[in-house]
Amino acid sequence: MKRIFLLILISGLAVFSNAQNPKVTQITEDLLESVGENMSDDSDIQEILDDLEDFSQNPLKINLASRDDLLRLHLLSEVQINNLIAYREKTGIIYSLYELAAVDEFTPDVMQKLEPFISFDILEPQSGKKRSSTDLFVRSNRTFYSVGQADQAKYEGSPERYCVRFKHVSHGMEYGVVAEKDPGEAFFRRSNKRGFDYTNAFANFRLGHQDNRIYVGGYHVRFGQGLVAWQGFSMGKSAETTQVSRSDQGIKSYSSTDENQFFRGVAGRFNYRNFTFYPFLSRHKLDASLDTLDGQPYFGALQTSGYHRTSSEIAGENSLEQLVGGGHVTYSHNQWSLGLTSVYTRFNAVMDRSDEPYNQFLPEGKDYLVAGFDWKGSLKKIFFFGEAAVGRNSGKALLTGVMMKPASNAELSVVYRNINKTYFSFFSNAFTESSRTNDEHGLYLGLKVFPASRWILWAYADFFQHQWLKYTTAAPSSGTEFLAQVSYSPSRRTGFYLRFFQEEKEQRLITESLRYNEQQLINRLRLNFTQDLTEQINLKSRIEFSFYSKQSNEKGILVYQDVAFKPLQKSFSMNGRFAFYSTDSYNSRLYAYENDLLYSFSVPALYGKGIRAYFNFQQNFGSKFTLWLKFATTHQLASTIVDSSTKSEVKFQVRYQF
Amino acid sequence: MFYQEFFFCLNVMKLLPTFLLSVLFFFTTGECIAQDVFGSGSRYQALSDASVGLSDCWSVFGNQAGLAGIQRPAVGGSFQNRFLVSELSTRSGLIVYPFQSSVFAFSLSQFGQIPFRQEKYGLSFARKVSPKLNFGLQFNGYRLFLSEENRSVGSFGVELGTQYLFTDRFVVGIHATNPYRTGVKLASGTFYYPSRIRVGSFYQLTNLFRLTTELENDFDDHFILKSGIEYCILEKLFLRAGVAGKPYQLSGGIGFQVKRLTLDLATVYNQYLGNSPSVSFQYQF
Repeated sequence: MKRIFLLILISGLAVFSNAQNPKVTQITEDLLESVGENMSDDSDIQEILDDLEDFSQNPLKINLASRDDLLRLHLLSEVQINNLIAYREKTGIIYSLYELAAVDEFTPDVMQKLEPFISFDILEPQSGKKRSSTDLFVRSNRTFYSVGQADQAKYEGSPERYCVRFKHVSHGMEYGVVAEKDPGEAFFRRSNKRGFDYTNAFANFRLGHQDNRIYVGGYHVRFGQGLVAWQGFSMGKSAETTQVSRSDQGIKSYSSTDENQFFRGVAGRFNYRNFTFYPFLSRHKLDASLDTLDGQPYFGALQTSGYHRTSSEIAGENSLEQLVGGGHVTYSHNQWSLGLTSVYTRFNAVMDRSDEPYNQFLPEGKDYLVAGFDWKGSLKKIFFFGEAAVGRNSGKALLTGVMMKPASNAELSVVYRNINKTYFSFFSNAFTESSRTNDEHGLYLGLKVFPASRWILWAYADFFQHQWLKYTTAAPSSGTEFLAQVSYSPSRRTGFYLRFFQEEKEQRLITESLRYNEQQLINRLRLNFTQDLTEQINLKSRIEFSFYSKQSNEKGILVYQDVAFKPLQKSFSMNGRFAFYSTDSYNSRLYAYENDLLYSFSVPALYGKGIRAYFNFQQNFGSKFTLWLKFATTHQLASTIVDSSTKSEVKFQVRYQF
Repeated sequence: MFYQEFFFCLNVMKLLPTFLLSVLFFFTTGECIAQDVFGSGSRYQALSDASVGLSDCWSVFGNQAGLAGIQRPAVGGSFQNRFLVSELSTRSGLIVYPFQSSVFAFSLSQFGQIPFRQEKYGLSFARKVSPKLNFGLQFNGYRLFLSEENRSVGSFGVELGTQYLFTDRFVVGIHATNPYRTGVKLASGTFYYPSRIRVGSFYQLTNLFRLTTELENDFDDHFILKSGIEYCILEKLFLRAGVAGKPYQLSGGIGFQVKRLTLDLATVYNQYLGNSPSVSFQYQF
């Protein structure tokens, strides 16, 4: 529990450095909040923030942008991109937002989100200059507890976290290095004599004019619909109910701090006619607790927390070597593309999972091969996408879906997935209920309707089944999940939304003599209100309720008020929150997305009874130097003053751009 | 294909007798409030029976006020194989006849097989009170077969509903079934026929795409929210889907028109009990 809390805290949002426009912050916040709630622990969204920040400074030239550039906006669906490209080809240059509104699926809410990130400029970018930047940033944070932290004594290092990143981007080239020390890890002493506990260097450069690229060092791969290989961040079920397909992102250099979700080695991207090839090869040292049996080393599970603080954590550090080779090839024609992915993984020790029933059908052994075929394309305004994959032990997986626009004011999506209990890929991350792409059969329906101007309605329903037990269940199980949201914006400066979420699924219950599944029901109801009081001050208020029932009934409430202040013509900005929460226990917890330092974000789970407040400050010194500060405090109230506790966090970050 | 896989849980059906008894118990004790065993057509089934705003001849099993818009006589029939168990199947038929400015209809529906069978006969009347307001009324006769006593007992019920057309594209309806509880006294207790009130809307976004929603209440504290979408994907070919909860149900179906004949297919999927496929037809004279 604590680990999840910590992970959520340390995973990294953002106040944009040069975001003179508070709207940019709001848009990013909404985007991240919608994905953040469903994020698995190891996700990484730094890349989205990087891209959006880049576009807020150098708006994307919508008339010149390639498909890849448009994908990097993270605000457009595959269907919208297809429509935009088709429109451009048919009618030529798009001169204004009003004209963009004529493109299919560019609804008012989409346009509003796009506005700060795009331009209608038709001049070619001055070569090299625009895209060339170098930045160095340093971040540190520390958490203070009013009651002593018993664990700290066991740790090798100090409770601070340090992170450094250097990155250079020019026209055809990108390189950099990122290093991090987590709280409790040693720094320039003990087990980390050379300094940081985690370091990663990355580089990629262009070969020729065809956007052929070579990647060296850290990189991540994302292909198809994520059944075979999709590392790091991905979009799952979210309040954007009809955005369900994945957009092939190929290979990208890795500059984040998650210590597991990436490859180390060489990779490439080569175009030949309608084909694009992505070969890759990686040798990555992972953490695992190794044992030996008959002279043969084996391990039970990977350690993915990324922490190396205690002697046992350090013992497992980099003890396992993972060798990965694979490739992806895409064939694109018109609006269709077909792809093949294959990944071979080999460990230098045998994987021997524990005898728990939930491990029964998961693969063991030294090596593992998985391959998949993916497709996407449009036919008569219906967008089809999917992927089918096979792994060892006749593990098969299928994920397929459609996105369509049955009426000019409605969008509809359907996703069907059928993943065997024996199917497994070490790098999969698909549109599923479970965090692991394994043993799931389900159907998802998403709908978005614009019934009248200023009103939007979203809804999804997801039905899923698992044929075997999971870590959290004691028998085959099934569940359902619903979301309904209605938003009303009486003006450009004011907006409301009301959201209802319900999840019902079976979860394990353990008694002395029995383990069985019990129905668990979670309901959440949220009312959110945003208002731009003036050009400089934005307000955001929220009240949210949660209801939980399994063996007992529990409830919770969260109320908060945000204020953001960005004086015009000034080099600083600030924002803050005051929140009150009260829940019966962790089960009825509530999540609230928080503004944070640039490149980091947090969605803490709030439970118990208490007050949480934070304050963010940002100051630009000239155009090159930026400073961020965050102070956050949680005061946990208890029945007696003695039991009450306070946890405070200070974060600090500087960036130098040249 | 899709179904077979989906319903591995139906292996339970090997224990058919036990299963049947418990399901029957479910129905007879009125525990499973939402289950109106007298089935409507497959169009409504596919739209998760969110039918209070809809208007066609199957309104005799939805909201009789919807009959008021019917201009031509029609006949229809349906068959639903609930949870793929023939003992739980429903057969229904109807005749709708517009006469001057009123519409009359007769319907019958039969659920189950001896030793457990229920029947319902309905006589309905509907008319437009004003161009925007429809009204409908139905008298029901129920019959329940009691195998132990080798006789059947009858009782009476009533349904009434209205629909208000804000525009041609947006209709709001309200419908009540047996506002006074109707039941049969048996040696084992009283058997009640369902009482419920439903409020909902029908929203036609374009000529090709429709959205229907409904909230149902059993005059007690149990609510069911139902919604369905209908999409005319090709001329005279409709795709439908619906979601309802709780109990959670997912439904889907297709419908097509051949001249004056309409054929509909649907299935309703319950997470624990599986699929209930159905088929229906209607013919307009």
